[in-house]
Amino acid sequence: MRIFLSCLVCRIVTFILQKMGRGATTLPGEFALKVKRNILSDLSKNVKVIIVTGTNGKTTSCRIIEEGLKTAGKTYSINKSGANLITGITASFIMNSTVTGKNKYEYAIVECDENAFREVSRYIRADVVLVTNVFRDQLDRYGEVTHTLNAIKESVKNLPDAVVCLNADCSLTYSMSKEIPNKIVTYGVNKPFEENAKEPEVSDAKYCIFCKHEYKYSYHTYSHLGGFECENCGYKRVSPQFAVNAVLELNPHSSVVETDFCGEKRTAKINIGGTYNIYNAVGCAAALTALGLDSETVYTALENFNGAFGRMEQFDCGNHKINIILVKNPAGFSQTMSYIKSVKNDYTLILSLNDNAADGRDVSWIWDVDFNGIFKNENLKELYVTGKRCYDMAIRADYEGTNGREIKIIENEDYEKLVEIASAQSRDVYIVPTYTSMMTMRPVIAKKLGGKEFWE
Amino acid sequence: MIIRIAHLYPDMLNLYGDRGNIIALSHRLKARGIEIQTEKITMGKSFNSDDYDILFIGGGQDFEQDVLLDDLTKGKDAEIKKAVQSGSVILAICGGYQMLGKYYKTYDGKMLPYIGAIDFYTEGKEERMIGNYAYKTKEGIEIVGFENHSGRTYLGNGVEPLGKIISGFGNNGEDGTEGVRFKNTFGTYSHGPVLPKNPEFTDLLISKALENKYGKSDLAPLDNTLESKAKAQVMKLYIKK
Repeated sequence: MRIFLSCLVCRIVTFILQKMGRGATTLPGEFALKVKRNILSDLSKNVKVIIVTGTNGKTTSCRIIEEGLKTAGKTYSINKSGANLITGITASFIMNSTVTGKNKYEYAIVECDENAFREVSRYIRADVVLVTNVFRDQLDRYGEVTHTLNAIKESVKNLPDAVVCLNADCSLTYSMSKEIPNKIVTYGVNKPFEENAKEPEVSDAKYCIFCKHEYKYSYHTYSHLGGFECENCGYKRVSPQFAVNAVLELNPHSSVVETDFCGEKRTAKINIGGTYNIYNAVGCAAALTALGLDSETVYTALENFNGAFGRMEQFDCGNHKINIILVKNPAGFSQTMSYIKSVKNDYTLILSLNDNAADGRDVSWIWDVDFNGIFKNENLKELYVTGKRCYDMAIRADYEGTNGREIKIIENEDYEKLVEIASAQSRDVYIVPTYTSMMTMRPVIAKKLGGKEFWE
Repeated sequence: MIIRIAHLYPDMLNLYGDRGNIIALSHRLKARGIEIQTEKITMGKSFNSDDYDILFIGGGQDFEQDVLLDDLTKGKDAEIKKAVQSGSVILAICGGYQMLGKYYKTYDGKMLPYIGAIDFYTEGKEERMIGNYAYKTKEGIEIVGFENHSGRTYLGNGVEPLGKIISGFGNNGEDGTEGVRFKNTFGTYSHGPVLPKNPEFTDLLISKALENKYGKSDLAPLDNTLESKAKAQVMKLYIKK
C-alpha cells in the first residue's frame, strides 16, 4: 500500500510541476521518500540495475551503456539530466514503474552522485557498479578526496552481490579493491596518450593511499592516472582485464584505439573526442560485458553512441558549430583545454564560471587547472569569459598569458548576448561552462538553435 | 633585480589553487622587469631560508598532515622560525598559516604540535566556517577571499592580526580578527587564491621583499582593471558592509 501511495504522490507532484512548465528533478522524489523511505528497495527488485558513479565521466558513461542496451535490443530506463541524488533516482524509478511499483523495463541505468551513493546503496540492489575515477572535486561541499573515495567504498560494501568495475589506473579508485567483498573487473589504458606525457603540476594522489610514500610512475595518462607503484608497501597498478593498448587516432569527435578485452584484441572506434573519454569507453566495455552483453554489441555501442547533454554537445549553425563542454573540476577542465588545443581549425573559446553550490562556491580551483598555453594557441582567434565570476576567469587567463590577445567579457551572465556572439561566428565555437552556467545557458542556446529542454 | 621565492611543500600543500599566489607574484614582478626564481621545497629536501626573499606556504588536506609534520621537524621548522624572526617575507595560507602557530587541537582532542614561530594556537570544531569574506589591513587595504576552515585560531597577547573582519568569520568567528602579522610574516585563511584579486596586497609583499634585499622599493603602478573588477564583483555579490 505504501509503495502505491509513494509512487502516486511522486506522479502527482511531477504532473503539477510539468503543468506549471517546470522541470521536475528533485521535488517529486522528495515527496515519495517521505511516504516510504526505502521505496528504492521495492522498485529495484525486478530489474537489472547498473549504477555509474565517480568524479568525472558519469553522464557520458551512461550514454554509452544506454547505447549498448539499445543495440542489444533491451529495454531500459535511465535517470537523465544530472538528477543523480537519491531524490532524482527515486523519481526516475517511480516514473518507469507500474502503479504497483514493478519496473516496466529490463534494465535500469542509474547515474549516482558519489556522496548520494551512501544513501542510495542502503536501499537499492544492483548487478553492476561502474566507478569512473576519483578526483578532487568541489571541496567546500565534499571535504577531502579521500572522503569521496570512502563514500564510494562504503556504498559498494552495501552492494556485495554487484560486480564492480574499477579504473585500474586510478590509485584512489583501485585502492578499494583491497577492502570490498565484491567481484571486481578492472579497466585501464596501458600506454600514455602522448609520448613522454609528463607528471601533472597538481596531482590529487601523489602519495600512497595505504602507507603515504610517494608513488613511482612507469607512465602518466592524465592527472594522477597511469602506471603507479608504491615501492614501500607494494601497492601498484594491476594489468587491467579491459584495456586500451594503443591510441591509433585522436580526432576532434572520435578516437581509434587498439583494445585488449580479456585477451581479445582488435581495433575499435570511439564516437567521441577527448583522451579522457577513452577511459569512459573502456570502463563501459567492462560494465556492459559484466551485464552479459557480447563484445560485438559493445564495439557497436562505442562506435555509435552520441555525446550527452552539455558534454561535447554540438549545435549546428550552418557554416560553423557550437560545442558545449561542461567542466566541474581541475582534472576535467585541464583535459578539456588539452582537447580543444588539439583541434586543427580556428576557433573561438568562451569560458563561463559560476560559483553557485553545484559549481563549487569557491572558485579558486580554476588556478589548479592546467591551461597548457591555450590562450597563446595559434588557432584560438577570439577569447571570451562570462558567468557570475567572469572577472576571476579573466584574471586567470590574463595571468596565464595571452600573447596580447584581448580577453573579452560578457557581463551579467547575459546568455542572450553569448548566443548572439556564438552564432554570429564564422569559425567553430567552444563554450566551456561550469554546471549551473551550462544549465542556464543551454535552454537559451537550444531555443535559438533547436534542441531538447533538459527535463524532456 | 631578482626575487627568489621558496614554495614550501608545493606537492602537498596545494589545496584550492593556492599556487595561484605564486603565479600572481611572478606576474607582478615580471611586469616590473624584476627577475624571479621559484624553487619548490618538497618533502625530504633541506633548505636555507637565507637563500630566499619570499617564502610561500599553502593549505593542505588532513590526509597528508602527519607525513608533513614529521618532515617539518627535520630542520624546516628551524629555517622557517629563522625567516620569521629575521623579517623575511612570508605568506602562509590556511593550513600553512596554522602551522606557524604553537599547536592545533582537533575537535576530538588530538594535539598536533606545530612549529610555534608566532604566539597563537588553533582549535578545531566540527562545524566549518565557509564562505566569501573580506577584511581590512592596517594600511587600509581591503582584501577579499574565500575561507574554508574548521580550525579556530586565537592570537596570543599583543600579537597583531593581519586585518579586521569586514564580513565573514576570520580567525575564529568571535573576535573580529583575521590572520596574523608579525614583522613581514603574513598568515591568512584566505583562499581565492588571495593574491590575484588583491593586487595591493601582492604589491605590499613585493615591496617588503625589495626593501629587505635592496634597501628600497619603487614599484611602478600597473593596470589593475581586471583585478579591481574581480574584487568589486565579489564585494557586490557577497560582502555586507
